[in-house]
Amino acid sequence: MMSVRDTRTLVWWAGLIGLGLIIILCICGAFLGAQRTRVIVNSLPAAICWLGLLGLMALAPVSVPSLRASPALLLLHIGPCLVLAGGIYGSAAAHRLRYLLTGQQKAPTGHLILLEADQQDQYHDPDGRPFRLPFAIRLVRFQILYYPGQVLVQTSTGRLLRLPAVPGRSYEVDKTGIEILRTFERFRVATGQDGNRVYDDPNGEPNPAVEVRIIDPDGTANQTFLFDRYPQWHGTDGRIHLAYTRPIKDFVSHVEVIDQGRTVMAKAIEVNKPLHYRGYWLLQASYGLDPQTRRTYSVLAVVSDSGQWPVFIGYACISIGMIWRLWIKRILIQGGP
Amino acid sequence: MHIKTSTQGLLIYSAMVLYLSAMAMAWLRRPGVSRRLFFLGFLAAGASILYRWVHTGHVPMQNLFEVFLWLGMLVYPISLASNTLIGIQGTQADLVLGLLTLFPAGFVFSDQPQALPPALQSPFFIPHVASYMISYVLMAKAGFWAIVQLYGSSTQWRTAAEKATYLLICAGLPFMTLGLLLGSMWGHYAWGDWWGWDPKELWSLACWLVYVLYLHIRPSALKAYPRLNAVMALIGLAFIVVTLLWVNLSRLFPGLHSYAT
Repeated sequence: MMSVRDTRTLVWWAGLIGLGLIIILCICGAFLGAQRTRVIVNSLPAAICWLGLLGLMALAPVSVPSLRASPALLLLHIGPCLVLAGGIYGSAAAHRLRYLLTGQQKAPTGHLILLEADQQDQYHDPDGRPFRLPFAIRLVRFQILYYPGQVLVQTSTGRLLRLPAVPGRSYEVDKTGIEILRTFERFRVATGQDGNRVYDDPNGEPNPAVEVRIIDPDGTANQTFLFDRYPQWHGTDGRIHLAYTRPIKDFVSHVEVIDQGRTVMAKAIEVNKPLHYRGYWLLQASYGLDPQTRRTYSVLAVVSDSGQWPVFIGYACISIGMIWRLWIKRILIQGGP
Repeated sequence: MHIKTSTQGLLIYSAMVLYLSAMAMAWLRRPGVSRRLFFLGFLAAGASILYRWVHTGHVPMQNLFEVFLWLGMLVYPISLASNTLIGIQGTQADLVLGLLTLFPAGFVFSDQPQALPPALQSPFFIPHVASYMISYVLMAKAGFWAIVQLYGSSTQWRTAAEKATYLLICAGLPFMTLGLLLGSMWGHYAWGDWWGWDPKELWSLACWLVYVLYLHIRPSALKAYPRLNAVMALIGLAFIVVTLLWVNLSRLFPGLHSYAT
């Protein structure tokens, strides 16, 4: 029969070895890459290890009286337990287990493709299996927001410059002058009797472009158009090369949530601003243009929220425990060396 | 090697020259002048950040150039705070740290401004990066005292250095914890995943765990293996260097944080 002291020592050493093993796992995982590491940490042997670690951390406050005596230390040990418990509850294996036990069909992650003006309640997990949401989503409109355009300049030494494409501005790079003449949102060319004419077509498809004048060091001037959709470098005798780009500022899916036939919510899903409804998070993931219908579609990631509250509370416990124990008690109360 | 002839570059080089002058004054035993020069260097580094902020139109914490700029600036307030709050000296070491962190900003990384991509437009962006930067400066200071502990000339010095290392880790670890947890929360709202097993995340967790391990073994190792604490603090610092530099710069670790370069 093990004494209390022996149990405490065992928990202590097991805890330290556990910490050391996780450090080694992290380093190996970093070299293996996220995809392979994810497979390893979600495997059955790893699941047993996670449960063992959870048990060990839960046992620490029970077997070590000083942890019970200090609320900050207790929080610091309960916090990781809650994070691990939340992580295990929200894992793919736990979702499978719940399906076997309760019949609840919910994939931990998946994606949903929505064409503009269409509604959808089906999503697919990473293996392509279909799942149904307890509500439907309608994509009212998909929007891409851009930063102002930039003329990219690559010099003969490989230096890359980004110049704001503001009409009327002039720049000088390596003794070559660059003048921004006009910018276009929907660039078009009209062919007439008196030659070609370029214009901004308010009804056309987006085709952002900029017209620039390049003045060589010998005074020779050339005008050219640079296109965002056709990224290529325009050269000037190998001295500098130009291209046009409009960096993306945000992707926005304006959606409506339809629950039991009624529109219950309207929301703009953006990167970092997901939608949370009835146990699911819907996040802006990607977009595209359907080649057949020429309609824009938005790809939303669908993520189960199972286990999120233990993780939230666990994080709060760890943060409060850390600040309490190390800043308030050790530094502010006990002071310097 | 990028030598910057812009206003941005001139401000960085001014800060470096002032830090260097402060070091020279400290060696010449002119502490008052050294302190004033250190403060002026901090102002120059701060001006460089402000210039960058206005130039890019967003808080400059996007890439390694901007991060190193902040690290070089943060050295002064952290040096002042650790001196007044926990009584830890070592201004010369702080000046070396300031120079070391401003060097990559001044000579290695490009200062080309970049638009903030959608993933970085998050309320977690500033607190996540700021927490990490403060913790890195504190842990770097802890690393310096760990070296003093290992190679100190007297027992008294070694004991004082051990305590300084411990207190700096106590000050830095909550910042590192906040950085780690805020990053995880950010991942949850941006990608729907608390933890993506990305190389940067894994090195960050390994780094955090090394300091957690340090705090666990310190009480028992203090008597039997006093040098072990210093070694742990240095391993932690080595992991920070890997997390900050190797993971971002090497193609060995592709992942969600590759935009940080």
